[in-house]
Amino acid sequence: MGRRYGVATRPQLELGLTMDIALGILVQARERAAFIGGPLQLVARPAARIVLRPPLVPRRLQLGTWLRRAADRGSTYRGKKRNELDAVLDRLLPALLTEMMRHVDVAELLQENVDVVALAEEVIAEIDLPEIIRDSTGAMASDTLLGVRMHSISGDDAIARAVDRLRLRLTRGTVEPGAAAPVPVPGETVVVVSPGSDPPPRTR
Amino acid sequence: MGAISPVPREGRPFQGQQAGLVTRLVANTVDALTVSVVLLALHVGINALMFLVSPRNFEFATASVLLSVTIALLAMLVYMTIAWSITGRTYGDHVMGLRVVGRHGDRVWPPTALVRAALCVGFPIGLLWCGVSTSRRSVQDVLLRTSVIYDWRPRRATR
Repeated sequence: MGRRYGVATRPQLELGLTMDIALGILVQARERAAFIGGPLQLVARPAARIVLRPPLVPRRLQLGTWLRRAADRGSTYRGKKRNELDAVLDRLLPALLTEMMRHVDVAELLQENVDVVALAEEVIAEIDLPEIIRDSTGAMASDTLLGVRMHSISGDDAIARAVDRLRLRLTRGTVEPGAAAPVPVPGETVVVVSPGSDPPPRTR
Repeated sequence: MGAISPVPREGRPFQGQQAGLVTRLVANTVDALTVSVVLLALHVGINALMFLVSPRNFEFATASVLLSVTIALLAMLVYMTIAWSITGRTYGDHVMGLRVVGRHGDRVWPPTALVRAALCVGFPIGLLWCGVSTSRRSVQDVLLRTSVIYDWRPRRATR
């Protein structure tokens, strides 16, 4: 499998850089606008209120009311057109896709361009299908059995290690009589008794 | 791309390795219990049949210790021979994820299986040699050039 996932290609890096620059400029512009717009807002807001809602003018004749009505009309129209477009697309797209599918053999296209078996094997390996099957079928029995097997394998290894240590000790004793130094094993206390020395103190 | 393994991740590193003393002892104990239970069930079944045939004259049939042991050993012999020559594993081996294989990791032929079973039944202490042997082979394995490996797959690998 020559594919590599999660590694950005050169065009992707360039695109990311371009977006970062654009975003940086936008942020800077927004900060400038806020800096300038702050004082302007103090003036513009009352002026706009006077234009939209002029005093002594009936509410229905105010510019704000007219704009609100126009916005409502526009919103209703937009909703209606969107519904119409949805209805048209609902009818058109399935027919169009069906017609397209009639001319394109998707299965063949996939087989030609995608290694489906490799993909499936990769997915199954990734999700550990046997584990899922075991989980779904008799998880208790399976887990117990797994535990027993793993424990007995550990027991096998422990015996093999013990025998190896014993063999090593015996071999050293044969090759260098009197100079046998037991190999200290982590977690194990070794008491060396040399000939002629006092016996180790007995602890009770 | 490797094939999908039905073996749990924990056990994968051990597959194909020679099995040690503890696992094999447990497997043999399971086998002995299995044969004992089957023989006991047969004994009870035969007595129940005799009771049904002639309830008035029924007496619980008992066998001498020597006969019982002989029958049990023969049953073990037949059971192990058939199991090893067909699937390479007895029920105990199946439980513990073991398989008996030939010299090249192939199937054990029926005559070899028979001799191996006879050696296992007649000289069970020979199993202990696999705890001492560097190649983890019992006396039976050494004599017949067989091996007992960890094999958790449900079926034998195709060669």
